[in-house]
Amino acid sequence: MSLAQLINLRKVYQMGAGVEVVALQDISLTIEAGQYTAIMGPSGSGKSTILNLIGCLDRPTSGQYILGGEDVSRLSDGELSEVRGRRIGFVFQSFNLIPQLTALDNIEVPLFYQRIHRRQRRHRSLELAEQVGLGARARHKPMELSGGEQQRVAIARAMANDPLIILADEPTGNLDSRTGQEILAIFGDLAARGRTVIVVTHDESVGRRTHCIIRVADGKVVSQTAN
Amino acid sequence: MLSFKTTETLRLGVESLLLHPGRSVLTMLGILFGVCAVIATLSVVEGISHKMQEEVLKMGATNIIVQAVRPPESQTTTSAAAASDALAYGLTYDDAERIQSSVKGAEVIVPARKIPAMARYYTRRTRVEVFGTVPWYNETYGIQVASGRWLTPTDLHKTDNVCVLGASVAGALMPREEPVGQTLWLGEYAYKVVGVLKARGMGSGGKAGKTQDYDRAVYIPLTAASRRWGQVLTDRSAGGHSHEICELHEITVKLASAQQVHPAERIITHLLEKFHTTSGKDWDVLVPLERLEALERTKWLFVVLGVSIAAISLLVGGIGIMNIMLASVTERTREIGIRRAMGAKRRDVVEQFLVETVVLSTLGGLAGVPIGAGLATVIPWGLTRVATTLGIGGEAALSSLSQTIVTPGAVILALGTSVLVGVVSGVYPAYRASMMDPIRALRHE
Repeated sequence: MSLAQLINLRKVYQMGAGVEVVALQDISLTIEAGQYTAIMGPSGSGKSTILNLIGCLDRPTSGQYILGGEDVSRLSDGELSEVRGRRIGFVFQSFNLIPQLTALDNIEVPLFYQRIHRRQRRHRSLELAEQVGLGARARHKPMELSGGEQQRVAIARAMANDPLIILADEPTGNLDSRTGQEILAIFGDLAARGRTVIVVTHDESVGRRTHCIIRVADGKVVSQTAN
Repeated sequence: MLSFKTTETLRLGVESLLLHPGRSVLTMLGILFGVCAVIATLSVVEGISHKMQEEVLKMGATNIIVQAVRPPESQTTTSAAAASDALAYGLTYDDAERIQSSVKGAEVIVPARKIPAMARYYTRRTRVEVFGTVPWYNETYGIQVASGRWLTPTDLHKTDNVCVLGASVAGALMPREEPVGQTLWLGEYAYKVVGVLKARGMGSGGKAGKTQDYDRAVYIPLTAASRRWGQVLTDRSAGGHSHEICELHEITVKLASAQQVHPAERIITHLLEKFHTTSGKDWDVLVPLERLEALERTKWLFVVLGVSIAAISLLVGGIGIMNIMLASVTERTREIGIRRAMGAKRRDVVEQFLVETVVLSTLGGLAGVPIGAGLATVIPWGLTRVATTLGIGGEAALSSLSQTIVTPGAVILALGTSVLVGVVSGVYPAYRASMMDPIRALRHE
């Protein structure tokens, strides 16, 4: 059974005054467990919308999304938030760490919303910080960390609840090429250990490092090729 | 699970506040001033009210005080006064007796005279305490007659030189004779013995709680005591002199309970109106209870006034909080988006911001109470200084303000209101925060 299935997904935005924007026309995808996938396409192709839908940040206008065997297409906001917190780990282009919290506190945020107790949270966050190679830097605030370090924190945070899917949106977009390579190496490592990783990007060099490229244009899947 | 959530959310809220200390303090200030105002106002009002109540209570809360008033015109009532050249006015023993018999359960206190003197019977002498008193005195204090009789109203009116002996006095002066009917000397005047009392022993009957030896007393009519030992007031002012005769300056009526006061007042007023026929009113009835009740009403007026002003202050504080929280929410849009992406539900966001607001307002309230209490102490002092400096006067009145009382009720009211204001003013910003679209929030700024 596949990990995630997008079946005839359609997303339409109401812009007011009767104007509609069709972001996704008809998307059907299957993601297998342990797959390292890139979703690629030009600006406006709908790849961000697909990311939002896979990440349970938004609901489709029509169609079905089955995640981990559960149909999450028509869930309430509360239920969706719950699924998102447990099953998805996000990594953003601009890191999106909470500036007033230390790296460890940032990693713990998803755990807090899963009602994990303080001591357990701290134990887990230290573990994760080790895994992404942060070490002593983990006690610093984001302002005091380099871009690469911040993204490592974000990855550790994404892993906190042991999610089904790690979703990365242009993860190397704000990093220099060398640091970018380091980060992509971490993703590759995670994938090798059986993590399901989806990277949304427009950068071919990023796409080349994945196992499978799904190309999107004008709100439709154009191709799905293995690497 | 529930307790975890509460303490953790509380901790999260407090930590968030500590991350923005400047803004947190600013938010608190509004509530702090409001609570200060509430506490200060209520404390000063309570202090004044308490002081005034004390004054009234000294007069006796269940007492009615009837006082003689010197009328402007010279009118006389008693024939005795008409015969002499004196102005007779005021209260009489008759008044006191009428009141005693008309008002059930009242203890009518009339200034009695206690005069230490030497009693002489032929060659025998002994130290006694001459007690000038009223006929109903024996009922009030349970004095019993062994032989003869007690004093009568007639004795009082005729200012007769009669006396009733205490048991020891009779024994000391006339051990072998029947005392009743004999004449003895008290001071410079002779008195006929009309009765002897049973032995009573020692007791604490005196006003100051002093013990007195009842058996060593000799009871004579109060009028006689007054006449023999002086009660006529002579005024030798410029141009001749005038004499005043006022039998009684004051009658105190003690009642058993507050409910009896108003009915008794009506009876007393009626009696005095009926029996005092001078054209100018020569009496006045003071009812401390009424004054107390009036004070209560005035106090509540001021309390309502003060609390209203303070409520406005708290309202302003609440609006201030709401504004600052709204700004805070906007500033933390990104953070809200991130938290939502990490699995926070709308409810979690509401709780986080609501906790922050309530913690802030509660802290403001807690800080405001001691500051308000301090202010309450300083205000009267400050006002007195201002009055003195500007020469306005009224320092004496202001000194009555000097006592301020912080009641638990005031504190609870103030704290409760600050928490409430926190909740009410925090709800809208928290709601706004929770309703943000996570995707848009993540793209913000």
